[in-house]
Amino acid sequence: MNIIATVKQVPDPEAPAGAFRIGPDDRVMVSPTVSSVLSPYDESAVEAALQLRDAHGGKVSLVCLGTEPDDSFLHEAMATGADEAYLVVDDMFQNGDAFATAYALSKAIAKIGEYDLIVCGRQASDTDAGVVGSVIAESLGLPSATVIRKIEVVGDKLNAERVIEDGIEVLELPLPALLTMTSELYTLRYASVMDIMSASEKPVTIWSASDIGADAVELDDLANRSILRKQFIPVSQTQCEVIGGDSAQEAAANLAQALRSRKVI
Amino acid sequence: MTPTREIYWNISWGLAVYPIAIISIAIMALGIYARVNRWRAGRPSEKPSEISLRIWRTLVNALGQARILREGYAGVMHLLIFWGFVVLFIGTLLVMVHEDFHIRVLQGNFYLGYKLALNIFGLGAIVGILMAAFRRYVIKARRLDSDRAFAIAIAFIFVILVTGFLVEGFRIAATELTQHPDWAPWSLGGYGVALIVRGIGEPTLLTLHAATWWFHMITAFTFIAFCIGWSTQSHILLAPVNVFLMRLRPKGALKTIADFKDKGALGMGSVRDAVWKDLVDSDVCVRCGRCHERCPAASTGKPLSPRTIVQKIKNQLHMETVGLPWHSGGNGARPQPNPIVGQNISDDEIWSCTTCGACHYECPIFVEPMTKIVELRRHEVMVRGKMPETAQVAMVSLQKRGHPWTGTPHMRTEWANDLNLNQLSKAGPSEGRSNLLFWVGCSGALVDRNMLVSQAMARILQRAGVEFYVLGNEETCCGDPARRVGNEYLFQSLAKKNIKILQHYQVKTILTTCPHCFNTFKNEYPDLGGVFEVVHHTQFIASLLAQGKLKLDPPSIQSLTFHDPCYLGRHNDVYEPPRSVAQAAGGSDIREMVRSRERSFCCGGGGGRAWMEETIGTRINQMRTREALSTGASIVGTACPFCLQMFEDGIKGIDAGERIRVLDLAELVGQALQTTEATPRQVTEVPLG
Repeated sequence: MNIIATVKQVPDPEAPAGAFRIGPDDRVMVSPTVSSVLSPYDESAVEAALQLRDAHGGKVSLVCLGTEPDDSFLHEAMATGADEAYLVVDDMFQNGDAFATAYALSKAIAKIGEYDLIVCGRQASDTDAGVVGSVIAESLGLPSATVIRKIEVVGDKLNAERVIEDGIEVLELPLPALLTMTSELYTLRYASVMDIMSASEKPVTIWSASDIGADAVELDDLANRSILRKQFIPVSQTQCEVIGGDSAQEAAANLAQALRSRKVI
Repeated sequence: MTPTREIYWNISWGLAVYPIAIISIAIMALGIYARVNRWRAGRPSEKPSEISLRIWRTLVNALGQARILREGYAGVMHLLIFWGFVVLFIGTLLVMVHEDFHIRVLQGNFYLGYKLALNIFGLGAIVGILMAAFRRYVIKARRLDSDRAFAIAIAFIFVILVTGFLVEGFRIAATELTQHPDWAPWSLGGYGVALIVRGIGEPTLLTLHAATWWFHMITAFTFIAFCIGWSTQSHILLAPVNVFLMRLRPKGALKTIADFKDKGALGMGSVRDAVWKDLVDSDVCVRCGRCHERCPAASTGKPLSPRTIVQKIKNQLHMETVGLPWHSGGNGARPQPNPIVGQNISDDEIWSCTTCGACHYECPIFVEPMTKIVELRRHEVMVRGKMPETAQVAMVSLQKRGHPWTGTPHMRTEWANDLNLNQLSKAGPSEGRSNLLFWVGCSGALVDRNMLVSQAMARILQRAGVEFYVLGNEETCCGDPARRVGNEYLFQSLAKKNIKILQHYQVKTILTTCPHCFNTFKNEYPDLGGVFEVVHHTQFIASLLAQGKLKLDPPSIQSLTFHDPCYLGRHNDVYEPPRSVAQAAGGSDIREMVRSRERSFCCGGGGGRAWMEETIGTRINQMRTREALSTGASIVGTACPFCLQMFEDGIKGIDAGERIRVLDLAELVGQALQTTEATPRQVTEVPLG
């Protein structure tokens, strides 16, 4: 089965808070010491895709909307086993919102054409919007489900475990479909050196807006209706209070009491 | 009359010894040939260089038994047997020279001296072999792992030695005792036997002599053919070979992989992936158990034993290679190699290793279990992409962030916020100015407890007026965790990046508080083109003290014990500088732990273990903390970020915070600086317990 995974490069979410600054225009985040990484939920989507391919055959294609025609990130991302990658780069999509991203990705996916399943991360770890996957499904007219922790393909259908507040829903969807993935059960595999070496030879196709048939008027109609006015880093204050006691038990009891009185527990 | 004796006295057909010898040696040689053939299943390794050094070390360790003699009982036992063998063998050769080459050496005073020497060494060997039997079967020394081969070898050697004395005794009783009574006592043992058997009448003596002679000869040649050729006693021949072939690279350096496209070079997946030196190493192991006894993993109930690793590789070598051409199962096919890890050796075994190097230090014949474990890890990580989950998190972090401490809330420069340090990115490449770099290391920059050490070290340097620089955000991991976990590829990519930066800034000397960084820069970067002068902070502080550049308060009276970090001590032989620093700052009451210096016991944090869970057996750090406690010292000093973390956890784990605390020596010196002159800032207090 052919599976498409959408991937996004984000500033390392594990980077210390102090490494992030907001630029002078209050809009752009400046973080020169923070490395760019694959968004963690996208890692789970890729792993899910790889496991399905390993079990059922076919191929895994990565699709990414980028800001620069630099394909090295995709070569790295393919080291874990994806077969090919597509990178969409065009000024038309710069600083676009989630709808713009979904528009670009769905155009690219439509151009790729043959697919049985699309997997996305449930949300990107930088913007945390969680919109793109569902909008792609809408524009491609696909059945979709969000926040999926596990996928099982049976014939031309799939069973998906969806995480809900108090438990799990098991959904059945016809193929092709789109799912957005959580990270509970799929941890991206570790790339072997041979995979890393061969990944540099795997194909990355770079597409511009016109390559995928994107249209500026259509884009304007669909997307970029929200405007980023300001970003800021909240000021947090830390106050340290030592809660003691004559014995470890007493200290623990005092701590529990203190937390309870502040309504933390 | 000149003292001598008649060779082949009372023996007819004595020359039969030669055909028997030829058959025996041929059987032995076939056995050795089969072993060598198996080794050839491995990949080629470099040709040995520095031949004269190798010969010297072989002499010291074979004839001199240098490493064997590190132990009392086992050392003396082996020395007696070994030298007994050597002298008796030479003695037997002299008989051949005398009788069959017609060079009459065995006469006059030389003959008497010869008798004496052979008897002294022969009796010594009997004492040695009895000690061996006593140790193996009465004391049952814990580390020994006995099977029938050892019993057979001990029995053979004992019988050969005893029958040798009987033959001599019967002959002396029948000849010298009456004909030349003044020669006889030179044969101490044989003379003793002669005095006992003198009364049994000449005809019986002659019969007994001839029978024992033949028995002795046949037993000796059987031993040579089968025990030396085909069993554990082959170490008599092969151990010196392994010593000669020892790896001469620095102790702390692992092998550099040159070609990542060559799948077989990416660690040891099967015995065919091993370089033949690793196969020789495994094949010559005699299972003495010294490594097993000193291994921190084996000592704390983990499934890993360095000896078992080596023996399992050996077993697999014997299962999966062909020694003699006609053993190939008739169709000439060689058995298929199976994976080593997963079937023969478990994951828990290879991941329990701290790479402390105790096994390498202990092995009398220079077998290297630790490098084999790393080779096995390399295959797991680089070919199969498999490792413990927490180690994988650290590796991914190294890849993404250049440090293994996922989730650290700190940036690399935060620890020095108030210290006003010079950053190389601002100073640019050294042009005439100081090119001393203080390499802070990932722990020193990103882990709260270790940041205190970096701060103390920076203050020491400032107080001593040393001009130094830091890399700040341009620093990344030196690569040690990646290399020891088995990801050589990641190690090399980190190392090459660092070398480029260091060369760009024309750094000449790297000063580091981390023995792992120290070892990696000093011993492993040169292979990749990065040659720097590398100093550990204990060495640097010791030299500042020696030059009088640091004035410390008179040490307050506190007893201190110093824990030698493996990568400072055992891997790099730095033992004195930390002790002199400890004494200058901590006072004269330095108490050594039972296991210190070369035999220091690992804290448990090396080899990537700092990022893995320790769920099996006793915690290594707790065992070591108890050792520190038993010295009665109130402070355990160390000089490694991992040791520091491990002791902090160990002290908490056994609830010993009120009795002992752990400090890096830089912190100790930092505290002694305090009152010498008013310092502008408050010295950070080290939390108790």
